[in-house]
Amino acid sequence: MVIGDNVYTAAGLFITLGLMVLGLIAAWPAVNAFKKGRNFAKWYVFSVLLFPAALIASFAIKPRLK
Amino acid sequence: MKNKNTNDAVANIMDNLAQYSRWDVQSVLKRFNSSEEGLDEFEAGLRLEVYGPNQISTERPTPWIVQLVKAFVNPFSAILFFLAGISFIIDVLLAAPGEQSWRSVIVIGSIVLISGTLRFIQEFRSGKEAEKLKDLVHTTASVVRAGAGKHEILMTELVPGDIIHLAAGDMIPADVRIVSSKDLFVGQSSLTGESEPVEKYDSLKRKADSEKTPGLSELDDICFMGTTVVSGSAVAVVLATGNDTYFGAMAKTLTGKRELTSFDKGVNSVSWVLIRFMLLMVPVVFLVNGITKGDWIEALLFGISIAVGLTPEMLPMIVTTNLAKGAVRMAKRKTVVKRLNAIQNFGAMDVLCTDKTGTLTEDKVILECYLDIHGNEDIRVWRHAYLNSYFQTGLKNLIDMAIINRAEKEGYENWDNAYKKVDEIPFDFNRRRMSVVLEDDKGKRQLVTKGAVEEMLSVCSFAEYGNEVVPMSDEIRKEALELADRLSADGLRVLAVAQKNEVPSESIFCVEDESNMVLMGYMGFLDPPKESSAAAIRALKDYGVTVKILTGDNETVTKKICNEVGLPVDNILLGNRIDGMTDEQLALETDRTTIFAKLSPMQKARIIRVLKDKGHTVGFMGDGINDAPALREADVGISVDTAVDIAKESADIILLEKDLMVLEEGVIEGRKTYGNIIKYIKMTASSNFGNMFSVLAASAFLPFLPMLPIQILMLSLIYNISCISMPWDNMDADYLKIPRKWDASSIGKFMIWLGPTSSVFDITTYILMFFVICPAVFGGAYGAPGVNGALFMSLFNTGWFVESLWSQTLVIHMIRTPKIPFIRSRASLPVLLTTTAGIAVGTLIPFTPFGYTMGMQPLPPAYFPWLLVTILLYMALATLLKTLYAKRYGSLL
Repeated sequence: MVIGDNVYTAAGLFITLGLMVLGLIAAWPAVNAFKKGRNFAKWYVFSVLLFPAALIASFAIKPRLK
Repeated sequence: MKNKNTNDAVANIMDNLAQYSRWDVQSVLKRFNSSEEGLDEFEAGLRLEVYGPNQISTERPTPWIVQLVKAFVNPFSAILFFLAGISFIIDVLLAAPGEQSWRSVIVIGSIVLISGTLRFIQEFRSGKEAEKLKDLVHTTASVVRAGAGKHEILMTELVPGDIIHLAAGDMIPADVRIVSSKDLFVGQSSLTGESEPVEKYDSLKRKADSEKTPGLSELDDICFMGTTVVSGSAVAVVLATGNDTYFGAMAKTLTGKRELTSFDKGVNSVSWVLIRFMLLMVPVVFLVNGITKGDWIEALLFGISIAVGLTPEMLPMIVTTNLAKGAVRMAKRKTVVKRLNAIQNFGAMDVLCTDKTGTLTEDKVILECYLDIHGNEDIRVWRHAYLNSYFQTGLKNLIDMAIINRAEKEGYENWDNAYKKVDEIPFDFNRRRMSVVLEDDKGKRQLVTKGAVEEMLSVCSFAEYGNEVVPMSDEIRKEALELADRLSADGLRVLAVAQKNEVPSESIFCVEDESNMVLMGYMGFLDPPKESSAAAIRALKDYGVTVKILTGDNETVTKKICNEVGLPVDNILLGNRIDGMTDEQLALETDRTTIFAKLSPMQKARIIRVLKDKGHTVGFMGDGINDAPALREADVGISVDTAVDIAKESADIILLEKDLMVLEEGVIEGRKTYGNIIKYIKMTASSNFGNMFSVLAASAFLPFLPMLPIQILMLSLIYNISCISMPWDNMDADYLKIPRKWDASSIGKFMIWLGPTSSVFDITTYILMFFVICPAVFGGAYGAPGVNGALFMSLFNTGWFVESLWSQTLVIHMIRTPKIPFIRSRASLPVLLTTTAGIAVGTLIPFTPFGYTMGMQPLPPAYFPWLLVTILLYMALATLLKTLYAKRYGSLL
């Protein structure tokens, strides 16, 4: 990878990419939690902020009975 | 000007009709050189040549040239024409000599041309198929012609001066003056908006006022084309046909007022959302590129190209082609789809309400037994029923035909010889009985009535057994009802027959004369279910459609039929209970009720409305005059070719064959149609949303344009061609199992979830091309000494062009199914061919001289393994996200 003087371009593209990937895969723990009866929106925010922890927690929590 | 001409024509027609209304019958007949025996066939033929067919111009097929123009008139074409105009000004008019380029104009024009031409071809084809089938749906009129007597002819063959017979269920085929009538009630709501039927007479009842032209409702001896006979009968003379009728003159203002369905509104709203989205994006892209790159002309051209890319030009073509394809496929199964959108509603239908007689059952009712009041066979009961059926001039329904046919078959066709008819009291759905007054050759008069058992008991004061007449008692009444119940439980439809000899010597009779009757006995009719009914109900259940029976018949016989066709009966609700319920109470009952029996026409329509209000998409299948309000109320009105005119007129779909399995095919076709439309809409919406991120990121962070304007236009052209085959795509079997209803909110959610997926890989491609491939080819980073910036940019553009084409085309395969594409669910061959061809052509362009003229250059071999990895990762991420989406919202499409 050759960046040269194009630091602005590199920073812009990598940060955009990171945010987009995070935004997309944060849906994974949120959907897991939703299927177990939890609030999707709250878990999505949790997942965006702390993805690894949210992913583990989404698998660990027990389904909530209605 | 056009309105003024229409108003003048309507005023002239009204003046003429008012004049004929004032004249006596003989003067009207004389004016038309006609008589009560009718015109002769030769004269009728001559008049047909002079006046033309009895058809209004709006019913005639739209000329192909008008269809062609309409195919190009839509907001998307308008936008593209506008953008082509700007490109023409910049690239041709304002360009320096020798630098003029038509390429952008040609590419944008090609997109408009392909979309419009395909739309025209599909509409033209489906129109032709529909016309062919419409010819098979015969709307006839009962005409009297001198020498030929009373017979049925096609409605289009009627001419002024013809004498016609009208009966309950008939459409009035032309503007007519009543010659004679009997309790004639006509529904004029299509012309006047009056919800109640109005009575018509053979002479003017209102006070004559020659100074003033009367209103439509005041011409009570004139019936208008397009209105319907609700009850009673009449003989009339035709005054005007086709465009010369009041309806013909008004047709231009009456047509086109059809309410838009939720589907129409949904597609329109999505179209405008996409247009607004494009209008918002383009100025932003233009400004960001102008500011960061400094070349405002180039930024404007780039903005225009983005606008073209974001315009879902193929949407009208995809919607029309899908609907037309569904209609053409149904046409091959001898099913007329009168309104294209009915196909989509067929797929959305989750409740099918059906009448019983003639739709679920065979349209050949058989007379099974004729019994006295104790249940013993008695031919006198049959003879009286025969006289009633034979002499009544109203609509001869299946029951009448069954009585007459069996008498003819067994040699009793002379039963009527000794009688002549004095008068009749026609059938209506409130009394549910009808009477004829007869006089035999000795001058003895008799009133003979037949009808539904309970309604008959209410007018009988005596009962007859053998030759003995006894007063009606509670015991006899109870015995009568028990016998009727037993017969109904055996699947027989039961009518009671009564008569009375004490008949006044007058010649006009009314409903009040149906009193103090003598109950004679019962007629039992077998109404067997159609062979295909059970299989069709099973298939509909498999496809998530609940079947409910809405019938005027009694609950016992309906339950028997339900058992025979395998329809489990959860609950039964009768018409008299429904009248006492509020809509809220009825709504609570509708879901758990299978049989709604003893219903009036308006009760049928009310049940449909209540089901619709509960959020169901409701179909109704019926064939009788009493089904017309329900057929109009339903989302999908289905009728059969043997139905009465008003039922066929009210229906959206007409089955020309008896096989009810066509209902299953209609449901599947409707869901396929909807699936392929929503697939394109969701794909386009999510793709446009995703492109917003890619283009904005490129505009903000790259030192040059990520793709040249002409390359974006070429990409859009190739992608649009790939989408042409989408209406021919397969839908997964699982998708077809559930009713599919228009759901606008799912489009927005889908866009947000799936849209950014392809953008992620657009940005990885930017990174790859900018920091790996281009530096490797040119020996350094962009802007470094010795690195040719123009060539660097050209290779970058080419790399994104190819990756963008791959991901944009493959998204068709990703989004069309919740399963793993190519492995668990494969697209149809046309889709596979067009998308593969699109990808192949787009990948090869950079290696051709044509690619060079478009500012591209050959990609190095090292690019392709990276492209493969990018595409595989893209498919993996898209699969993960669509699985999560389906888990979250229950369905992908």
